Amino acid sequence: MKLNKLLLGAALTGAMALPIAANAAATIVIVNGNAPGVGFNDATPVAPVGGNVGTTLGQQRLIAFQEAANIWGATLNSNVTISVLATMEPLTCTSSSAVLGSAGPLSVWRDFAGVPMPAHWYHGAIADKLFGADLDPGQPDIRARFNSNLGQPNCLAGSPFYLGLDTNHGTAIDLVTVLLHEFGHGLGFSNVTNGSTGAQLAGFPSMWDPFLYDLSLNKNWEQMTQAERQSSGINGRKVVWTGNNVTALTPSVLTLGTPRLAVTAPANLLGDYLVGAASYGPAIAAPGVSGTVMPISTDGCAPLSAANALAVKNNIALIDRGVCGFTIKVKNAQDAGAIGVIIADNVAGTPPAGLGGADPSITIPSARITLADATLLRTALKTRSRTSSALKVNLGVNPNQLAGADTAGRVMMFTPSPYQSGSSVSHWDTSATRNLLMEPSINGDLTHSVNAPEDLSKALLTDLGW
Amino acid sequence: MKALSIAAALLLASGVAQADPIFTEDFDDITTLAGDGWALINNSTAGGQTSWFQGNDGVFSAYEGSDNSYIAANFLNAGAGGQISNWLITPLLTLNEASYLTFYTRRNDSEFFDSLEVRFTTSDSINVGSSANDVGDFTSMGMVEVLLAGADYPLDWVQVRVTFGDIGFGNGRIALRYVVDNTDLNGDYIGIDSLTVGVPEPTSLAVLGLGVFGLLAARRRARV
Repeated sequence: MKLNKLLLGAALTGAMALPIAANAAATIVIVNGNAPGVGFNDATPVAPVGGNVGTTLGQQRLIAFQEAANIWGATLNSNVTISVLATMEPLTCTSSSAVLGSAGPLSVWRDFAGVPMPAHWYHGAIADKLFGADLDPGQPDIRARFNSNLGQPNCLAGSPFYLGLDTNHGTAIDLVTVLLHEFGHGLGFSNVTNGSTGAQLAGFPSMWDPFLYDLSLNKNWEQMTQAERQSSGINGRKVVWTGNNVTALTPSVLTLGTPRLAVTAPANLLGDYLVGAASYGPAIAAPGVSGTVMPISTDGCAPLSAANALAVKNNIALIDRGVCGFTIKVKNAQDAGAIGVIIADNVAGTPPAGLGGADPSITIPSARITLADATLLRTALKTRSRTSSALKVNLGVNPNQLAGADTAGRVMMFTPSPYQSGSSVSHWDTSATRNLLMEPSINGDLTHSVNAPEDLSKALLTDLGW
Repeated sequence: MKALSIAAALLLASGVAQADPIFTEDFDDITTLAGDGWALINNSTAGGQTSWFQGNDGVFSAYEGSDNSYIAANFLNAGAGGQISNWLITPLLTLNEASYLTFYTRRNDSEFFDSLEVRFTTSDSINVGSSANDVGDFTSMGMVEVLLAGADYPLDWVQVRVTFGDIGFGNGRIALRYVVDNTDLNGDYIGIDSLTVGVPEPTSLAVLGLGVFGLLAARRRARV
């Protein structure tokens, strides 16, 4: 037996250890890495919220951590205690976006005794389980960081962490959900092979790679050259997870019907185009809306002129992204009589991201398409009249395809172009419906379950050997 | 196979023997026009996204033939707020005083109005000037003008007929000119199909004079 270990990050020295044991089939221990007075040690008094009985901010944070540890612990089986070194600290954020947290293994291992697949890197926690003992006694297995500034004016203003345990987070960000997500990365839900460069870690593939399959190259990541992995990492919605446990449970989790823009005329543009779904308005569903696509001559941020209103009335409006929020554009088109809206991205990249925002008065469907697709489709619009064009579409679903899976029912991974460091390859694609815990962004409708039929996180870990 | 409209035939019933057309164009494929001697000149300011283009059956279908077998122009001939002057000029033709031009045209249904002129020059010229206001060699005494404009522009395919009379003798070119003054306020989409130039026997033309034209309401025909 050859024992190989690679340290991925330096453990904090002098960390205050505060073990929290989950009463479950696996024991997850939280190591409080915060200094006195901050993070988990913040003594600011708080009122109980949503079943969280802590009386200080730090206590409530730790109780939320214990809740997440309990949920994962009840799901996993291991005789070896899993140790998570956790801190709450300032992470990247702006007034409108924030890194909620990050996590990964502190060490990875290969070729230990009992390893199911030699010559592949395993995350520390799963390596311990498979080895049957702690390969690295005294050292944490997972490093996790969470944003301590969330909700402050320059950090996703108005959306702080919700510390309750009952998922009633309203417009706040549910901390337990974020913890479950980040613990998932630490437990195995992340690739050790570099998705940006395609480089393997120290010349060996990770356990992730045999399951990561590219539909364009018809190879998994282990079978590819480094250059092929690099291109696969940005092959939007063309990379799927082939593990049997995930695939078997996928029909019970994902909804049948994949949103898409089907062009039905003209003949030279026929086909299905990728869309990013909207978080407001009616969900794209069968039979969808069918009609003629008509562009407008403005950014759509003001009520439409008579000419633009005439163009979109009873038609599907094509509006460029930019200047104002998506809901404003869609509402203006709706007010002018449009039956649907296509937002054309204004920056290159694929697949199209979703459309954020909220406006309960929006009643027509809308979706985003890529800049490249928009440019292509516009060729059919030059010869339009004021009221009609040659571009006929259906904004609806492929009824035979699970939302977020390929036509063979395998869940798609998040592989946007350009590459998103920290997100690409190690998440499910954002098109998954219902929403999954391990998508790159936290959706408001997630439960605290990591199992089918609510979620596929545990199924993927099972594929990896958990 | 094309059929002349009954209305047009009635106009000719004043003793003029019907002759075979000397020239026909059905606009089945407008990429062949230049090779056949046509000139397509978009003099609009500022320049737009389009010039004359193959008909778009997503707006309306051709008078006859396959759905897109007509030639069309639209408000995008000029940029936003621009002035459209878009010329479609026939090859050089030899005419007599009995010669006539027929074509079918229609517009799209909106309050953004289009206009179309028919002009003529008695030379082998395609000089239309250099700006949207210019008409070049198409403005002299040789001009025959049909102006379809505003709400009078038909909403369904209608045959337009132009006769040339005395000015038709000799060589010349006929121009169809799509004109819009300001694309912020006017201009939509027009189509032109089944253009014919005929030269009947010039013996009994007493009833036809200079500049006589007919715009006759023809019902839309089933496509062949």
